[in-house]
Amino acid sequence: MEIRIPNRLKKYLIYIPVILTSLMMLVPVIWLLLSSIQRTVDIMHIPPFLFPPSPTLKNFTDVLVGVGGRATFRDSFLNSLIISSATTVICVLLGSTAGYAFSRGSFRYKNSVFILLLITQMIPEVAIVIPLYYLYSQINLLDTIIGMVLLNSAILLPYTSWLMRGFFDSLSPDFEEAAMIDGCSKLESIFRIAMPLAAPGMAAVAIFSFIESWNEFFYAFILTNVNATTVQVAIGSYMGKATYKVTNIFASATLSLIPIIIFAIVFRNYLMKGLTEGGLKF
Amino acid sequence: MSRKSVNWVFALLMLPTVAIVVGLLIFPLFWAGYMSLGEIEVGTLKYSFVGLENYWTLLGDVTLWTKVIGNTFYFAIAAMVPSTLIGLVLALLANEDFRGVKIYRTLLLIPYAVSPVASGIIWKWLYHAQFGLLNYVLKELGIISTYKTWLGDPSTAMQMVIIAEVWKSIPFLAILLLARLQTVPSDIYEAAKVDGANKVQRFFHVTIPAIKSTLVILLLIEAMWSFRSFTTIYTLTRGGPGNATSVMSYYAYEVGFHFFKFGYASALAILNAVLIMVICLAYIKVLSRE
Repeated sequence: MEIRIPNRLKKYLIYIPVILTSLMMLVPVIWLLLSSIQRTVDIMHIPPFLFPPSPTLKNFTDVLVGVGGRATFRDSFLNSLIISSATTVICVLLGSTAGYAFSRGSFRYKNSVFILLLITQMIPEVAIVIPLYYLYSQINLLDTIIGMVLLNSAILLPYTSWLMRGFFDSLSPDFEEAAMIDGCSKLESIFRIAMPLAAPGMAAVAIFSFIESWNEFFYAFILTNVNATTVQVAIGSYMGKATYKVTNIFASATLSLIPIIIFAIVFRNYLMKGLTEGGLKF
Repeated sequence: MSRKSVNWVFALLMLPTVAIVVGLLIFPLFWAGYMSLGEIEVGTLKYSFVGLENYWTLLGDVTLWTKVIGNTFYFAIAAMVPSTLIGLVLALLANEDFRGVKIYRTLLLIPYAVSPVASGIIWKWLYHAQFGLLNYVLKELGIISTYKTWLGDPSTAMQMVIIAEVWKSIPFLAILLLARLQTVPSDIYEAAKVDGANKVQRFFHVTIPAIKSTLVILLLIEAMWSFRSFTTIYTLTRGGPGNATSVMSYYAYEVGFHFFKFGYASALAILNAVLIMVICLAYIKVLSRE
């Protein structure tokens, strides 16, 4: 049996999967947002309220003012800001230089290094966290911002180098060669010609690094205590308490989420542009 | 500039990256190997070399072989396949041209921003036995008759955790696949259309080949990630109920941080790492044969 759909309506068919998938991806997030502005009594109501009957911002003030978790939420939030920003800077700088070297260079150990970086993606977190704990306690990096920045960078550099490598692969070497013919040194051609051209890729790397390091949990969980806790650990610590306040959990989760969502939306074009413009040469 | 000195520049450019990665990831990995050959006394933190004893224990660990390893494979594969497929669907939809597609693309980006911890919290709440949305909706729709403890029931816990993991993984895949799809120039589609190809044919002969290489690499990355996934399980079930959702990464964590057997935990973690390497090597080998 053939279902006759007039041609002019056919193009609206696509809205069905579009709306369905949008709901699928957004409902959980919206549910969190809605739950975070409800009072405890309303949250624990059967049936669950779709629209908060008495919306309140008290949950947020509780979390922002109170002394909850291992360190105050405010401190953790600030730590995360610093750690993520620093990690981003490092990943952009070192990822670009490494990516360039992978792309343009041909030195002795290039392939071995590439395999080495690939292997790091196969390492379970729990495998190295104990040695890292020892190592950090020996060199006084335990529970420090620098310690977390370095570790986050280590985790993200393989992927960011690879992204930048793909980017430089798609960048014609003619530009640098032309510059060198005009008298630039090799270093100059790299930093004054190639790097600026790779800006979209760097933007994508920056966004990716920031989000990934902001969302990192396990290493921060084990390797920090009071001084360098991240916002993810703070949320987690609300869950671990014996007096389990759901509102704290939701509020802290929302607060940690909102800046990143805004960040991702504002910079979405850079992210997509960086990924599409030759960032995916595979 | 001589050839040699140029190569020096490249090596130098790579040096800081390599130093950080080797220092903080590779070196600890070897150290973990060393730790797996010993045991650490709880009180004094003294290390005593015991050779392969931890690995003998590992071979005889019933929980590991009857539950954990099976869970690891099940979780990884059951998470990888749907997230890739759904991610592909989303990417294909977002690649189309319709009013509001730009908003759609932005909407897809939002779950990417959700951290594993936040995602775990969301799903844990959705699955809540009394106040969860899932129970409410399913009961109202008549699909279930009483509220279920999704995460507390060994027969459903793993599936629910997988759903949460899939949801969390989709955005990243969708974005990368969309980026790849966008690099395919529309001329190719036009040319195919002119040559008489219908929608289905255009899909199989233009779209699929274009993203094939990306898909292949994405699957590899996903495999590496899924087989060592930890945070989702930690947030949702802590490996329970009774090891029903315990995977290798979580099990190793439990052995180390709940039972304080760091040597044995290291051995378990090394096994996890080796497993991932073997799988990836096999995958790459199969690929290079084509």
